[in-house]
Amino acid sequence: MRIKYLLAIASLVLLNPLSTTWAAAPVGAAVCVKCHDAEERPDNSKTAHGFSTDKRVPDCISCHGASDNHANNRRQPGVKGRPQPDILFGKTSKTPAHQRTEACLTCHTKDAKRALWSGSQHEAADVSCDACHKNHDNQDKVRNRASQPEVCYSCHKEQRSQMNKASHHPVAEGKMACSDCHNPHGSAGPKLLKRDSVNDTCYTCHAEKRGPFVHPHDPVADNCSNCHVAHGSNTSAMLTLRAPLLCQQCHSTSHTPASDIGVLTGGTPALNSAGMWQGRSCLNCHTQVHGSNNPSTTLMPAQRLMR
Amino acid sequence: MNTLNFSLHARRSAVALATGLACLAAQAQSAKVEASVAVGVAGIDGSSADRAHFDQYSALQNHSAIGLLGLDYSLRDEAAGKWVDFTGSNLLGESRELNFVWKNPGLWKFNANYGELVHQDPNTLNTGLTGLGSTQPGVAAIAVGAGVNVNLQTKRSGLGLGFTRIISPAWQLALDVKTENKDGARLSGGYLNCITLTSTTCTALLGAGTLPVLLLPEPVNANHTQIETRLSYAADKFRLSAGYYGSFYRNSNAALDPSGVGTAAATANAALLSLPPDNEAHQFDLSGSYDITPSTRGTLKLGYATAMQRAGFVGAGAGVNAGVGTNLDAKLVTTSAKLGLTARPMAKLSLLADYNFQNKDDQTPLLNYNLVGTNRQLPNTTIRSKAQASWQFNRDYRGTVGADYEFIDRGTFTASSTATGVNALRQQTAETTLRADLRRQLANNVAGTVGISSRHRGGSNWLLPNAAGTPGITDVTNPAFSFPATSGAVFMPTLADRQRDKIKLSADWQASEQLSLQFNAETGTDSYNTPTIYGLRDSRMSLFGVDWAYALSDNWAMTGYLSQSKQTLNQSRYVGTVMAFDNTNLGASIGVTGKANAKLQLGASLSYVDDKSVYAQSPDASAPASVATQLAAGGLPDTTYRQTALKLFATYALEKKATLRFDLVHQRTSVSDWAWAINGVPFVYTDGSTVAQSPEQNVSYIGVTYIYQLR
Repeated sequence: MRIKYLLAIASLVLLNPLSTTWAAAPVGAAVCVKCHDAEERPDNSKTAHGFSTDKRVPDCISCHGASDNHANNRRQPGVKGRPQPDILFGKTSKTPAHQRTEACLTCHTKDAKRALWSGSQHEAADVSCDACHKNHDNQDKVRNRASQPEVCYSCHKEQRSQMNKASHHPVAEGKMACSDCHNPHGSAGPKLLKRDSVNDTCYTCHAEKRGPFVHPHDPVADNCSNCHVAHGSNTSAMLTLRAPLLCQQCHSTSHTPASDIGVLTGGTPALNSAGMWQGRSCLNCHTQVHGSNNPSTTLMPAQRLMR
Repeated sequence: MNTLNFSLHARRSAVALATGLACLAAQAQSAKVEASVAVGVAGIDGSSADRAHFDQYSALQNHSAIGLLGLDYSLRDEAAGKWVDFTGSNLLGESRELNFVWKNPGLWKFNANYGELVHQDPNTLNTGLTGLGSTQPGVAAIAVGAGVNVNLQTKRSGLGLGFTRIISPAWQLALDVKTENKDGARLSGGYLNCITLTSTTCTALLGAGTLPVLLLPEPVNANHTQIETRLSYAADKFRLSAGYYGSFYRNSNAALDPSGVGTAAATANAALLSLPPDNEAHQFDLSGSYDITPSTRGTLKLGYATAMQRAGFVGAGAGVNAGVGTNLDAKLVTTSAKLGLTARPMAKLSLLADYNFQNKDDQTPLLNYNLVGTNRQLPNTTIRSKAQASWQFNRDYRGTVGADYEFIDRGTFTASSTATGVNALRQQTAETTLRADLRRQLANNVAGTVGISSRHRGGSNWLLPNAAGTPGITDVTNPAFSFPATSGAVFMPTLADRQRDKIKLSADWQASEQLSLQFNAETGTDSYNTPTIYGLRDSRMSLFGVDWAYALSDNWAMTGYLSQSKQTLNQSRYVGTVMAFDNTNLGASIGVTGKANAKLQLGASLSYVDDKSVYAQSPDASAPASVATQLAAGGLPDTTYRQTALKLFATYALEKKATLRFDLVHQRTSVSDWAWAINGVPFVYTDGSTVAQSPEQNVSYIGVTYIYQLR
């Protein structure tokens, strides 16, 4: 009961600027609250939409449309019951996705982070704002770092599977969220990445890999995902495949003798007896795979990314 | 440790102080205030070996008991236009997070945050190294297992400040600054020829089986500062913003210089391993959108960026060729443009076109850094474009067809440099994708989607590296050309011709008011076509999953999923073996949350992951007999990773303002991996160092937290 009481007060506070208007004639959102009383209305008093003195805050009609037929209960032929509001949100909504999204963009398009929404993968796939956001809720899961992945995984199953692997970014631990790398509202980068390329996005946390180096490694400068699965793998450092298999996908002219590399040579406890498969494999020697800035030209040159 | 760290601590204190003062000031106002403090204690059992995976990001530092402290403060004074939020978590641990937001909605917003992130390597080192984590570790030979156990970790400590000002309904200015220190050490090593552990002279490279490989953790002590500012303008039909992004990386460590390796190695100057150099990047962009008509919108982003690297060579290596300067003086200039157009010319028709251009101009000077030849420039021009049309057949049917095109030109090969370790390169690749999907409302409570795509990548002629000692490449125009190494060469899969096909199905079924189900399945294949049969030949992936949610009652709900994915690939190499790699991953989870009564809330989840990789090898016709012998001896074992985690929580309202929360976690992890040991026999570094991880890890965590609502 106390909660309902608080809700009622919160609603009164929220709708206070409208109260004088209601007294004169119930127009606009005041029409809505004639039927949808405080107890029925969801509590969004802790959200930005609940901050009544912000002139940008929408009312019911801003998002749901004027909805005259619904408000005045003008029954439609062949439709049972009261007509629906002009724009309805949620899983069972019949309102086209673009129409639902436009209702939000009326205000939110001013934010530069959404400037490239049009034509983005989500927009093109008919994903509307309410597919991810819960507007009538004080706790919007997708805006909370810990619970956000749960929302994204409702469509992105492969990424959930990868995040469960041994080597992963700390998403499951709540220290990172999908939106740390992706801008779901549109971007110039591939896969809705926040920056203009895969590498530029990775460099926001891994700037040490940016170089440019005296001795670059072409696939590194090309695309980090040539070797890494950003969502997780069971190979250390989220590699797509463990060395030497990964390295051998490009390099075959080095270490051609099969006794040197190619099969596991056993495991007797002599120094390095396991050849080049074990330990860090190729990276045992070629430690600078992201590029080397060593200008030395002496024995075992940095050109081979060993210094 | 250094001035960076000191200054960060100072900033942290300043933020905490400012935050506290702000809260106090805000509290004095008449406003709606909600505040709570959470105090507790947690106990964790298990040795450090048992907690290897559990502690990967826990920041528990192997402690068996820790204190818990969290704060939550919120003030909303709508009449005064004041909204203050302050949260703090893990304040007694090593992964603290503090967030402060002070805003007047519609006018301005200030935010500050401080966060820590610890990553602990799940492997334990046993080594005789001294000064581990420094730039001058001392190598000391030990008998296997006789060293000291060490767990490597890195810690990020970041401070962020942001300010947004809504100048008018049309104009907005935002400024964000983030600075982060990263300290610690991570697993690395080095091939150090001529070291006293294997040879006292330095006359030639040592042969296979006697490779002097050392465990040398990379010391990490760096700062990364990022600045972003944006001025935005929005009119009814027109939105435009101009932004700047700057990134400045500064590394306190120039090179890793191990001692204890002998004078021969030092004389040969082979022991100096360079560490990541200081670098910086700047980007200016102009982006926006324009509503050409009510149903047609254009988008735009233009960018100009530079990336520079001018870290001094002093301390990073020596023995350079004459004429090489004091730093690389590297500069990469990137220009980019993205143009997009979406339109709804008819109610049922949606159209989309997108063009994305990016050109990287590598302006790094070319000098003789190598025994033969100069360094290499890596220019790149990428064009990505797409066109798509969707048709809403009726309320229940929607179909989409689209075409994507990606063209990459990696530029003319630097003629004065040598291509190392590869058989061939390619200047240009082009990939075309055709795709279609159909969505259908099958019934009032069932919706399904099917999508297919087919991608084909081709490219320009392969480029053959010139013979050793001669820089440059030769353009192979003859398609029948026989590449060297008896045509057994590998052609890199990122450049190879590739056919990629994929199909994806999904269905949402609201089976009843209580039960909803989501099914998804996808499968895809890649096949590669290169001048030889070697290298990566084909790969396949598949995934099947079902998610469900069931409302047991108004107060109780259950959720869960079951998912299985498979990945296979086949690759082979000249004078070696054919390798078939199969990975199977099974994931399952079930959870329940609910309210037992007005005071008691309960929740439980059980998750399971089972991942298995099979490395099946078989000798090809060119493999020597020794390979078959080695394979007959067992070949590569499977690697597995299994984890079961049970998580329980309960909250009990002691009174109106006080709640007690219990958390219990039990996690069992099973790891089998031949990277560091096979059948208990470890991989041993030249100095006797080893790396290990417990194959069975069981850990339990129990925490009790008292949460008190202050207002």
